[in-house]
Amino acid sequence: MNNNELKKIEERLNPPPAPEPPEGLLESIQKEIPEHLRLVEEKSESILSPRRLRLIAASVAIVVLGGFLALQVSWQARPSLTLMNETPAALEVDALTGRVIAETEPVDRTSSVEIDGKASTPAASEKAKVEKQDEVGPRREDLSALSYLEGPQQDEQAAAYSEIEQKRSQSLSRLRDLPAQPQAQSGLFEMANTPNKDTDAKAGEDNRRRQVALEKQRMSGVAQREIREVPATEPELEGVRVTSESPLRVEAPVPPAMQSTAPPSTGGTHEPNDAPYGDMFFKSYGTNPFIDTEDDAQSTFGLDVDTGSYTLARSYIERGHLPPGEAIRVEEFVNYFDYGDPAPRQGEFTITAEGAPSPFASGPRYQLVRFGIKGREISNAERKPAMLIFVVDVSGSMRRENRLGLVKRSLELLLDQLQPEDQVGLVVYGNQGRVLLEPTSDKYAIGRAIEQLRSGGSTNAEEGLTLAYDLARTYRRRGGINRIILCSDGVANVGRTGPESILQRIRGGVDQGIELTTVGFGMGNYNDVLMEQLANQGDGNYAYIDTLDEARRIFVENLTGTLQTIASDAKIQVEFNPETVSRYRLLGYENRDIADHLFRDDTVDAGEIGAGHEVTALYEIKLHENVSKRDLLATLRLRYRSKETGKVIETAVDMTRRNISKRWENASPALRLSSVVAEFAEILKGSYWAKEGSLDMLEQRAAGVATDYRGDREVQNLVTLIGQTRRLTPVSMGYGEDE
Amino acid sequence: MESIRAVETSDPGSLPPIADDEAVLWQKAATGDLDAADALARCTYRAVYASLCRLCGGNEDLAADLTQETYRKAWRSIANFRGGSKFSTWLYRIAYNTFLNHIRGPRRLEPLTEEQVDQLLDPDETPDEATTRSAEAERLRRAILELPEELRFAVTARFWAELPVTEIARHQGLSPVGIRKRLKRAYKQLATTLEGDLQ
Repeated sequence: MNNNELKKIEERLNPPPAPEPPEGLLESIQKEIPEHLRLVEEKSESILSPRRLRLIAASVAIVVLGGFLALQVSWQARPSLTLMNETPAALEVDALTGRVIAETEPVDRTSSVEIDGKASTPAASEKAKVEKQDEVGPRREDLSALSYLEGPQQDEQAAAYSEIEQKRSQSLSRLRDLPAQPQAQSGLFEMANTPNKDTDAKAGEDNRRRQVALEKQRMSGVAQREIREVPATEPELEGVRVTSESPLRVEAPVPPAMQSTAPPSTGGTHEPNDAPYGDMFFKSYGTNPFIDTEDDAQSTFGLDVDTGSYTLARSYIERGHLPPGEAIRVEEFVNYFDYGDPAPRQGEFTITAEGAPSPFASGPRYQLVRFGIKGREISNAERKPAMLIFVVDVSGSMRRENRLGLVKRSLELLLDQLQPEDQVGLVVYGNQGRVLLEPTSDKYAIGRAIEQLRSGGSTNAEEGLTLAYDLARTYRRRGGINRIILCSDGVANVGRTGPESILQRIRGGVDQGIELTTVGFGMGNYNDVLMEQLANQGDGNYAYIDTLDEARRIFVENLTGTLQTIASDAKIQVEFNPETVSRYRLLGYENRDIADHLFRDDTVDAGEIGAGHEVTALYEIKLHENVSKRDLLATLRLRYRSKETGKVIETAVDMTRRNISKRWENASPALRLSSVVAEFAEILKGSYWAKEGSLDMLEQRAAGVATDYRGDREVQNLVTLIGQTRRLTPVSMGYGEDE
Repeated sequence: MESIRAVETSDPGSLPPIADDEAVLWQKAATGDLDAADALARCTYRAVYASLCRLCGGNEDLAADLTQETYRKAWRSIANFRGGSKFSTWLYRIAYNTFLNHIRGPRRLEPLTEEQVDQLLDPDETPDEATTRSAEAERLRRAILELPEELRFAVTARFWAELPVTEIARHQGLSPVGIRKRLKRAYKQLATTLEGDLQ
């Protein structure tokens, strides 16, 4: 074919002029602009959030007087202004290939690579590192922030803000009359490819014994590696530590409902339409999209060992209702199950990385990848002595369905597990908080106090928690476990100042090593958001108890995991190799997202991991063509502070093509189980990615997997639960989420 | 329209920084400025509509519907847009996906089948109009839609969305030379297909 012919084709490709857009098209488009354009406001507070607006307004006034406060506001507002200067794909090849960070390099050295988005050659980034080390001063970002403070720019900026503010308020008033757009879940990022489609009928037939499969798993080269402790340097640059006021700090998001100071009452979001139970409060955190590795090769999030979402959903289904989509957090479903990953013989964690062709996707190059992180196991006898404060909600709402009865029996189960040196105190709250029992090791006294619990009155959770934290501080046990266990339906309706002040009190306790477990009880009038957020802020865990069996699981079988934390602020960063992986999607962890560059900021609040806990992260990834066996696909980095030594530890494990099975049938039982659980969660959530998922097929696959987990009651129950769900949905589930 | 188009550079190796009205607007819009969002829609919707018209083979009603759909999606994910390409390029990618989504549901990364391409024909079109419309142009459109994904995106972005090669390159994370190579491969393939059709 000669050039002339190609030229001809090229000419023919020039399109005819397009017709004029029809009248009114622009108006219809503009009408549909949602009022809250910025959807990730949970991640970092927008300049224009009401709270910040107030700040800005105040500072503008002060700037006019030549005040000092404006400096800080400009500082705060800076990131969104410099956004355009950041190169998103600041991926460093040397950072990728020069891996095994944990063992070779001090951690704070490499961190500058990410901070410096512009360093494009290894030499340049090396230089950046050196600079960074030498100056021991603010980060580059912060330096650039300083430049904003010079000269008249400051006033210009303040003026710009007030202008934006004004415009926005105008637009808001203009749009207020228009019908509100359903708030989209941020998951529908457009590069999205084929959502999951259950084409895997064969998995259901796979009845191989678990042993055999485990053997295969080993043969297919599942990467399993013990982690040795590698000390990392302490958080550097004390002076530049990002404070909690700075937008750079991405904390676990506090839902807007909690940020508002008024009204204090229920702390929820809204009541779902046609909800089977009144006043249930959930919050949707969206669904993670597929992300092109070219745009962002790093996926960073805080670990989460909560399981409340699964038990709560189960409770709904067993009562004959489908749980609302917002109640589903995929990672809490996945982490509910025990995948049998090996516990470390020494060190604190083992990481398992494996994969197989994705059962969800239709494309041939889609793989489902599982990272399993298993914490050191500690037996009940070996664990540290504990000082526990039970905080029991005895308000009127706890009388419903005999919630208080379940609380009592659950606590009695826990009591039986306690060691002689453990202490328990008891605080109750109804109208007011009251210390019922000062911490004591006298089991008889504790038992009697629990027995005497009676419900009645309204709810003053704030006072109850205040008393509990005071008590915990007074009786604090050095070197032991100091934990508050809150048993409630999560309604905090009489507190004077609302949930925000409760959260603040909790943060104060965290600094003194007091941890919090929230245990949810009840259906109807239940506040999932508050309970999850309390645990999140209180360096703790959240569970939902629907039956005595579940109480047994949490307070007996997994007691050391519930009580003793082995690692705090645990974060994961998975860095995909853009040369082998074209895109990825993290299943769940939507409200645990951490900005990539904060991975090595040890002041960021992340997940707490209890003894023996197993955390699983699932990714769906798409490979490029012709990836060879030895090619690196991803590097997983785990960073946490060891509870024992107080040191920050970072470790890394590589995943290559070799770790991925060729066929789904050869996937390990753990991978197949986790895929079933994740898909179940996504179907219930109404996730875009599960819109082709069918509960029929899922039930078959679950039954297939269950043969590998014969001894695991929870897995057997899962099959039943999926069956029940299927019967609740005679027609395929219709999803609210559109494409 | 003109103001939002980047100038193609003569130097294929370097991509000019993105600095145009659009960039200012989307950044404002992404922080919740609704006026900026209005303006953004105003200065981009013609191009989006035009590209969708061409994708849909002149089915204007469908193109208008898909244009609206495109913006709905864009507002939803505007906070996720990182400025890796120009806003209009990103918007075209959404439009393109919306179009493929519309005709085929989720399996959008495979070449289209002939029936799917057929579905696109405007059902209201009279036989006369159909004859008037160049049969040749229609054949070309089908051939383009049946190209493999990477080539199809490059060709449609270049010609139907009239995006400069630099922009496509930026969006795809390739060099402009890489995109030109793709285009060339596409021309070859198109020439072969069209030749086969004629015989």
